[in-house]
Amino acid sequence: MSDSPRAPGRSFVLRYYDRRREVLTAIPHDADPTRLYEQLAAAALPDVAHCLVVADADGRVVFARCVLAHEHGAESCLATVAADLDLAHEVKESLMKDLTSTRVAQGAASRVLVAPLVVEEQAAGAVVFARRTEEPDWSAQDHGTIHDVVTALGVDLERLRLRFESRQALRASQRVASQLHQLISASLVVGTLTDESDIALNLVRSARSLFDGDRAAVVVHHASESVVATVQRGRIPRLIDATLADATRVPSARPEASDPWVHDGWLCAPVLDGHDRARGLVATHRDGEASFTAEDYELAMLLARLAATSLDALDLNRTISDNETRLRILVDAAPVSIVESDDNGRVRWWNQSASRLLRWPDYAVDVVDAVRWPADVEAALVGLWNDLLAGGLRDNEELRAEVGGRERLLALSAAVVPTGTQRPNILTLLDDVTDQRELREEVRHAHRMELRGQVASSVAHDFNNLITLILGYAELLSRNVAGDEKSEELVRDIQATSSRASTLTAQLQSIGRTSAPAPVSLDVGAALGANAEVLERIMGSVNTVVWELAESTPPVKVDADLFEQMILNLSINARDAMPEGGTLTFTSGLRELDEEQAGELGLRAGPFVTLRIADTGTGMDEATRQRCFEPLFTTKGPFKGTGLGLASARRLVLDSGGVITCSSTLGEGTAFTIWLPAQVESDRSAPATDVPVVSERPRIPATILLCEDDAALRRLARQVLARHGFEVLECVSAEDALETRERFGARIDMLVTDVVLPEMDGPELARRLQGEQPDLVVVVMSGTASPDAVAGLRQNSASFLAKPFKPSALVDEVIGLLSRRTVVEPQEAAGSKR
Amino acid sequence: MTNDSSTDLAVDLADALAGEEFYLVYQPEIDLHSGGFAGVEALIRWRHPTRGVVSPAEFVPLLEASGDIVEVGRWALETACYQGAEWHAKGYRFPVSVNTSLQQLHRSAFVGEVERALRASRLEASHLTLEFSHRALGDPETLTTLTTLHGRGVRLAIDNFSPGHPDFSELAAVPVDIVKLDRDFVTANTESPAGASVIHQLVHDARALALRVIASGVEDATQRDHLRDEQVDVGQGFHFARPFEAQEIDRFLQDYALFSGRPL
Repeated sequence: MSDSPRAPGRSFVLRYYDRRREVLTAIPHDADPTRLYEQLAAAALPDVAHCLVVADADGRVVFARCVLAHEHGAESCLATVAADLDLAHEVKESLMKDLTSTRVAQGAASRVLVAPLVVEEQAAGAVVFARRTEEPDWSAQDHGTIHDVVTALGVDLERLRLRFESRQALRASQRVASQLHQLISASLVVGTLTDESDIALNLVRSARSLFDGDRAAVVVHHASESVVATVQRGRIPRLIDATLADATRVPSARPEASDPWVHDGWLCAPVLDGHDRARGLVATHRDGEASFTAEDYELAMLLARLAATSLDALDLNRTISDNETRLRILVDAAPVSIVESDDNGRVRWWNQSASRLLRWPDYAVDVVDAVRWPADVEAALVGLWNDLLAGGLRDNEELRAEVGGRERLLALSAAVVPTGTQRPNILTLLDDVTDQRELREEVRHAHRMELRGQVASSVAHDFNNLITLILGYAELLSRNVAGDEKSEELVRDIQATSSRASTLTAQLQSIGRTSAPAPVSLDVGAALGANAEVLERIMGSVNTVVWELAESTPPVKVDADLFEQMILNLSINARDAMPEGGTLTFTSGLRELDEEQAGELGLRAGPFVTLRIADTGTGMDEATRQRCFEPLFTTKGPFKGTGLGLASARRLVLDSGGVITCSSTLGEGTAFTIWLPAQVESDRSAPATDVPVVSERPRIPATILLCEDDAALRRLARQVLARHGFEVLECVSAEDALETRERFGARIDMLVTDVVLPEMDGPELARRLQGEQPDLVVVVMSGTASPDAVAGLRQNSASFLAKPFKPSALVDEVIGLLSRRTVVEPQEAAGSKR
Repeated sequence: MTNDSSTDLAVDLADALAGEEFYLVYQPEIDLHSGGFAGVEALIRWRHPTRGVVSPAEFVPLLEASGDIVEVGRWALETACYQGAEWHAKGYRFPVSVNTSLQQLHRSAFVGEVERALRASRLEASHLTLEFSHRALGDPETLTTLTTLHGRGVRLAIDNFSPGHPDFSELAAVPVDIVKLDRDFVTANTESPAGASVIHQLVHDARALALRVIASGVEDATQRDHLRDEQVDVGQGFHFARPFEAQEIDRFLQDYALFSGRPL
């Protein structure tokens, strides 16, 4: 290279301006000033100087270029200048003196021009231009040009730095925007996911890319398992088995941590549940020194919270979906038919009950358009819907309609379901109440029967009183006509007829009795014998009744009235089963059942009294036979049978520790067998049959208070008792009785009272009197009350006499009680006499 | 390359997928008119455990010969989709282009594989471009596959395109969105006025079919200016950027605006 004439002029400035433009317009990847120094050197060498040095404010060389660099290298050229001049000194001199002017320093081999470099109004250093001494000296124009160019360099350095910084700021804001975008995208995606694995797989992508990590991991604890997802840069996220070695590359959790932490290059954030317990971990790993910033911590926490929120939402969705499933199953299984339709009645959905009732297919989306309301039903529903949609209230309606080929009675109701649009849907409920209504009719019938029974019972009460009178007077009459054979026979006829009437009223009464069973020792044969007459009458003339009763059977413990009613019911059933007439056979016996036989019948081993009642009627088919003991089950149709007879028979027998079985053959007949445990000797008491009339009775002097509101009956009782030597005080009510006793003053031994009295009843009166006089004995008479009426009275001091009774029965009862009583004499503190 | 080393390579290649030795690099595509970021093409690389990075020119033919290209191609598709979705999640809106071999396209399962890759990665179909050789258009079954994919929203590009191979008339009836000009064709026609008119005609023909034109192998500013002047849409080549690994693309993208992709 030859020395060129030093004629820099304006061309140096233009050259520099031209060259620096490219530096200043390129994307600023850094703020390195060297690129500008390069442009300055390229513009300056070799025309302006042979060597260019940039020094910092302390005079240290930061850049140097020489024309001869390719021959000797920049260092050697710079070394030449440096050997000649103390550059640092010259730079400092220049900066100390005047920042606006250039200065020249002369060395042995070089002559340098030093231009202060001012950046942002601060002395940043200086640019040194060197010429060899043999070259032309620095002219005034050189001073001016170089001053302009170095000033421009200072401004350009500032611009370069500002451009870089603003670009950095732009990148940073883009990065933040991008991270926010990632977080929001992640939350949008994760919010739609329906299982923990998908959530973990999506979060792990975000965790890696959000922090530009080389890998990431997400751990989610779910039930008793852990889902672990990992990803490496450039790879697809995957789930790994939490128990395998792969998992050792996942950072371990810190159960107590609630803030993010950094360990071994991992930034970890705990995923906390609603109680701040760790339910997982979001972690990102960066290689090398790249450390995590405070912003990264915040983002990690946001991501962990996103994970927690999505997992919570997932739990919630599961709960909701479980509830929905439960409700759907419930609605589907509901016995009521439920149909959802639009406001025009077009069917949208229905439950299984509706499928059955309306004979529709099971609900499915593709059959919705195929189903139609039955015409009858729709006609009735349109009115209901319209009222409902108009805001009116409608009570449940009933509709008798042809549904699925059968006439059914339907209870209809409907409700509006808001849909969020102008047109709501309608839920229609159809309850098939046909069976229920029939059942209700049956129950109503049963109630009617019971009411009738009660009426019959009360009528029977009055009849009993009358029959008692007839019997009483007939007995009195028989003594008056003693010896007149003709009259005696007539009286016996009266007595026999009255007895029969008495039996009938007893039956009538038992129909309405609803009191609790009162088991007594009962001789089955005797009980049947006592009712034989009634039974035969019930069976009518077309039927034959055959009695095959064992000579004697041990007593059984059973409510006597209910037992009779049961026999009556079974007989009526038999009669109804034999419209053409037939034979009803009563067979009693005693059977000893061993363990096995008893087990088959559901009984305990032991002796059983059996009673078999067999007809020769139509019989039952198997289905009917199996159901015949069910309450309200009847084959007789409404208004004929109550369906209660066999059910109450079964209840009675079971309550009595026995069993009733049934065998039947269609066309041949039906037989019921009743098994009742035979009572062992120890718990037997006297059978409830008539006490034999004792002709010779002891005479016991006693005063009897007789309380009976029926005048005729009272008179009869007085006459009978007086005839046996008792002193009788008559009264018509409890008040009257109390007064009479007061008036009488002397000791009263016995009270004979009716149960039903005006105001205070008989038992109450008896209790009152016994309270004052404990040894008072009481006979309570009643046609309707049960023997329980004497329950409240002192033991062994009272007895119950059912109306109607023969006068002799009253006398026997009175004498029996008086002879057994315990008299408390005033002079004895306590004691007993028999 | 000797036969021996080719055989060794083939043996090593069999384990490369399982060994995670493949990786993808992405070469930016730049809008010639706005300077904006127009997309990336995913390119496969093989980091051989002992030989270092092996050129695709060496191993792709081996994969095609063994049929492993189907498996590796699926891996590349899935990975590129995930990467594309990641950029998408960051806020960028550019398509990812994936090279597809004829063997892949020929399989009936391919549509399902693409759909699975899109669904798993959550990349929108319109952000995936499949690049394939024009020879694919000759096979009716492959054409059906392409039509199905196009119907799903996936964009299709003919790779290494030069006019006449095939002729534009053949493209009229097929579901193609982009023609990618062959590197040699670009080099040959960006140096003379005659070449300029060839490109001019090509762009004119492509416009008539609403095809986007991408020039690959753009090496310098002169070529770029030529192509831009002839209304080519997008350029790709060392003048703009070499292929980068994903995280380097991230840094490259720092100077492009989110969403629009315009230079900052």
